[in-house]
Amino acid sequence: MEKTKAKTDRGTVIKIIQSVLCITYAAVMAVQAINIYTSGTAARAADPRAVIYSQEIAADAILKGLPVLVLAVTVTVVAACLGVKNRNKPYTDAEYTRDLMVARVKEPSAEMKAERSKQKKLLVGGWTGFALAMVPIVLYMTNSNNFAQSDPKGLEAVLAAMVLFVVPWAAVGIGILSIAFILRDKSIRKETEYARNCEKGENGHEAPKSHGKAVIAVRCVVLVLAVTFIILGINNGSAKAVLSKAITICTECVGLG
Amino acid sequence: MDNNKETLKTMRPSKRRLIQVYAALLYNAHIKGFINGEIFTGNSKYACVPGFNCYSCPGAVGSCPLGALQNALAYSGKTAGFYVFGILLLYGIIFGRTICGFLCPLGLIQELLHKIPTPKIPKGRVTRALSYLKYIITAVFVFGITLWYGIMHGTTIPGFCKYICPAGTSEGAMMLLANPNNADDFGMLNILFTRKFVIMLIIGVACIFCFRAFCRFICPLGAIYGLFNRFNIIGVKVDKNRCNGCGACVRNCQMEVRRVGDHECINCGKCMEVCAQKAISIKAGSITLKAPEGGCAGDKPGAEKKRKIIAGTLWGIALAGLAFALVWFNFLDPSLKKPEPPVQPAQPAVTQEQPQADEEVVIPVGFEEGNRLADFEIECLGGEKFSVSAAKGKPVVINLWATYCGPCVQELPLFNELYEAHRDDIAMVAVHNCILDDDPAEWVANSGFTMPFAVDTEDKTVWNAVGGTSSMPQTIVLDRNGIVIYNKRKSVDKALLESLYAEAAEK
Repeated sequence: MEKTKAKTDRGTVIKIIQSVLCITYAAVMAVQAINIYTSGTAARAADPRAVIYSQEIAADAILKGLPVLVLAVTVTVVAACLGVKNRNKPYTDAEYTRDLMVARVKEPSAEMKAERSKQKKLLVGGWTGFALAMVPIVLYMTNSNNFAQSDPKGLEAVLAAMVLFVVPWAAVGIGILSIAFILRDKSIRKETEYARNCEKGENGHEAPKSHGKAVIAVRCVVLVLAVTFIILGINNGSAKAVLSKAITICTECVGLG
Repeated sequence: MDNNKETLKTMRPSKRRLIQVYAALLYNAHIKGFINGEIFTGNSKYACVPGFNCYSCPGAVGSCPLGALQNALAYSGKTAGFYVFGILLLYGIIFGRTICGFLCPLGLIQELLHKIPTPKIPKGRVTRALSYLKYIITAVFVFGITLWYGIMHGTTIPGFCKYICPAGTSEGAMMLLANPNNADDFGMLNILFTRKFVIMLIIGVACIFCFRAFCRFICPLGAIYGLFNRFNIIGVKVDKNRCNGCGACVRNCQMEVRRVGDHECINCGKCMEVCAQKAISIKAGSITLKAPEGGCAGDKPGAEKKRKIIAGTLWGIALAGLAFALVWFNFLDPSLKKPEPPVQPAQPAVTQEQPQADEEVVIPVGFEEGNRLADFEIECLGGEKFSVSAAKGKPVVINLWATYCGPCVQELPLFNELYEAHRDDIAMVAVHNCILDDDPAEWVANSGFTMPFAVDTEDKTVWNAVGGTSSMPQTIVLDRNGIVIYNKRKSVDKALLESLYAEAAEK
């Protein structure tokens, strides 16, 4: 028992260290990329032919992140040697559990129906409250008088005023929604309990729908449509367009420029 | 000893993993591309691969369905993209999201990243809500931006590829840049790369902590294939007579499924392991591809053995196919034979005008900076001729572009502005790549540009003379003596163009 607990603790520590390393590595690389861009743009402002990125600059950036990467790889290897595994936590969503339970019930009781009705009201109420809280924000954002100043100092003031106005209303909206969801969850759990105590149906569970004739018909129609489209495409030149794009490096697609 | 055996057994890759690796290898069979840093340009790129695999990856031998879709949407004002729609319908109805589970290289990368031992974010309501984000991304980036720019502005802006796609950044840009032959391409990088690189890092980290984060929350291809999941021919099916509705399948699934086979199900078949009723199997129509332990209901005696023989045969055929693909795409494909560079007539030794120097400096003919550009002649769309020799004495600007290349189209007004500003003392031509049947003459006529345009010849006269590659835009500037002072594949801005002109005019 103690051995297992020690193993679990060791695993948790390794996982936390690994998390920190992964996030650090990503952060280091992101900061490097942004630094290269900002310093490169400054250089380009002085000389239009100056490059932002170069092989040397990129290699230097990669080297800066290398120690963290090596450490992360080492920890992964150590974790594998020690048998540290990721465990998949089963899905324990209240709504899903409720649905499973309710599907087994022969006839929903009055309490269950009342709880379901309460959940609906809470859902509608929560979203309505959220939408109402958003109204002042929308009005503020669409009022051009709030964004009239254009000089740099004015811009800061405009942003500050906007944040001061938007944040409280957003907090109110999210608060209303959260309260509604918490109360709804409580009601869902209650309904699940009621469903557990109800009389079970003979074959009450929601059996997966079989693939009947309708599905086969849809398949046939889509297959025919697909083949027709492909033939039409070959004839109207859209197939050639695919080739021409694919054999030329799409500099935008790969983010080159 | 037994423990070690058990550990080794659990570390053995599953058949699904092998299929994922196989698909990734098959899509990227052009191994030579990784060595040379060049993309494959063969006819196999007529076909889209089912999974997410950037067609600008040096190894890619097929087209990316999402890139092709965006390209088709951008062209929808001119040509209906029936071909891509047909391909997507075909893949969707046959496989649905089975592609995500078995045939997507990006899915494989995400699953491998998730294997890094860290605390994991379990699925819940927040992840469920986030799973709808991919539909918004599909609507805005794949359809909205692409259609808007394609129809309203006549330019190709693949919204998802340009702003988000981590496959483009990792498989395309980084694989190309990693090759020393493409050192010049670093000059093209700007804010677009920085932004996409940071996005790729964020998605990568998300995938470590959250199972298939990209697939669940962002992937437009998954969103599109998900629409077919109820009707797909190959996928996970549930035997309704065996299922008792216990929900173990959904509880143990790491995707956002609420029912086996719904739009979020990638048909990976992991639920088969937890189903006590043995109700789940992977089927192609009525044929069982993978049965639960103990077989399916109604199995004839010897069915399991028959399945194993069929699987073995299919693996044999698949491996032979892969071997053939590796040989074909690396050694035999006709596109691998590069055209011979045009033979230049013997050039007299060219001297730079240095009156004080007695010795002559021989300038080699070529397209590198400092070389004298080989002469070529091309007919412009207006009927007039452009040739390097005729332009001697003037600064020369040559731009390689294409209507389907977004950055090329965006920078054309700058060239036209330069041409207008120095009309009497500049020789300029914008040469369109000759690979589309689509005639750019109409586009040019509607654009209102006054500078000369030409379309490269079928034997790529201009491309070969200036060292054009498969990436665009490319700008070449010659000084008054016909010497190359600038030849780069990157977008230009006004300041750069002006400074290049000033430098060329000085000499």
